[in-house]
Amino acid sequence: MTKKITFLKLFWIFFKIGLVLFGGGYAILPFLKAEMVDKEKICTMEEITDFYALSQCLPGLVAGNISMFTGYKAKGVFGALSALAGVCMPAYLSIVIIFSFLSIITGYPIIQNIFEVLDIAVCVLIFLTILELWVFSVFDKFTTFIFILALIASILKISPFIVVISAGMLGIIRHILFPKEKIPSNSNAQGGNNA
Amino acid sequence: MHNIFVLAFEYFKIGTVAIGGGYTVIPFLYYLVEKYKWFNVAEITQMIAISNLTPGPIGINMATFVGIKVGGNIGAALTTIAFLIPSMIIVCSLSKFLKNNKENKYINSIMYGLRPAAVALIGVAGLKIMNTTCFNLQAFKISHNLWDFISLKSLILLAVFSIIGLKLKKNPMILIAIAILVGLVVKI
Repeated sequence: MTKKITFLKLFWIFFKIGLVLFGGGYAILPFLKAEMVDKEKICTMEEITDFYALSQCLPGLVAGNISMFTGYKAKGVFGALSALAGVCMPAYLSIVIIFSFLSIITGYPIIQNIFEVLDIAVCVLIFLTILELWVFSVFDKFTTFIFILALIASILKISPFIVVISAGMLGIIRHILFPKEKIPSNSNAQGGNNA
Repeated sequence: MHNIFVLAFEYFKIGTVAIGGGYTVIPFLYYLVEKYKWFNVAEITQMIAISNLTPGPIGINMATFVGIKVGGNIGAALTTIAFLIPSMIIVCSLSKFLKNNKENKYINSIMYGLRPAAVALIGVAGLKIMNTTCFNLQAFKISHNLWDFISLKSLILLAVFSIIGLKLKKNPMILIAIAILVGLVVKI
């Protein structure tokens, strides 16, 4: 654990990252490299890559998780919390500010029209996200089976909590029933997709 | 006030099971709409669009948005914090054991089963949005005119945006900006 960096500095670095972070969690990697690897020399690029892989597998936001891992490396638990607060603060503040005048502007028909077009764009963004996830999520018999099961469950309006938790449990049950079988992962595709 | 704590608890649960980034939260927003009717389906897409336009992680944008919608400023703060608590606990405790735990069979097994389910859930959320923007069953039932059922303009925009989106790959900002410009000129 390095002592060179203060909590405030850590918060400020991640606040700046949060300010320029648009879109999904993938966007954070180049900024982390510039600030924490090159400038502050708190961790190596290998560590950042490990943190990134792990962050995707854990509950919560990829950007939030990877910030906590890096913050923890620098200053322990409170370092992790400073980094998380920093990276989330711009997102929080911008919504609080926008919301205060949102109800005024949505009264105008032109704004309503813009939001209707935006709905279509959001729809496209969701489908593009699925394309990206698909490559390393649905790639063999077992994962296709789970995909179809979850699809049916979701159409039948079964709670997403139940769907997600049972899917995770099915993964574990498979491992317990066939402990010798390797856990497949489409790692090549994953590497190519998230670089 | 009661609503705020119910929402914070729901968001704590979402923070525990939503694995892999902001978009995995979207199916749970539909779940909240069905269960509590605090906001409506149209507002979900509004939230996603605004979250893409504002800085920071999308999941935080959406948590703050839902929170402020249901419970004002206190709601926003509580919801966002409740959403983050599970990952705080997990990441901080895992950091200690990280060195011997890089390749955990159980984490891998969970992810192996969980990822395809998450993809299915997000897919259904996308279909729901497509359904509300491109098709109108209500109008069709009254008029029995096919063009009241299918919004041709929306379908064309969907195709055009898909092509632009595939070309741009990882820049949702630009697609959202283009959609705003289109919305200024084209009447849907």
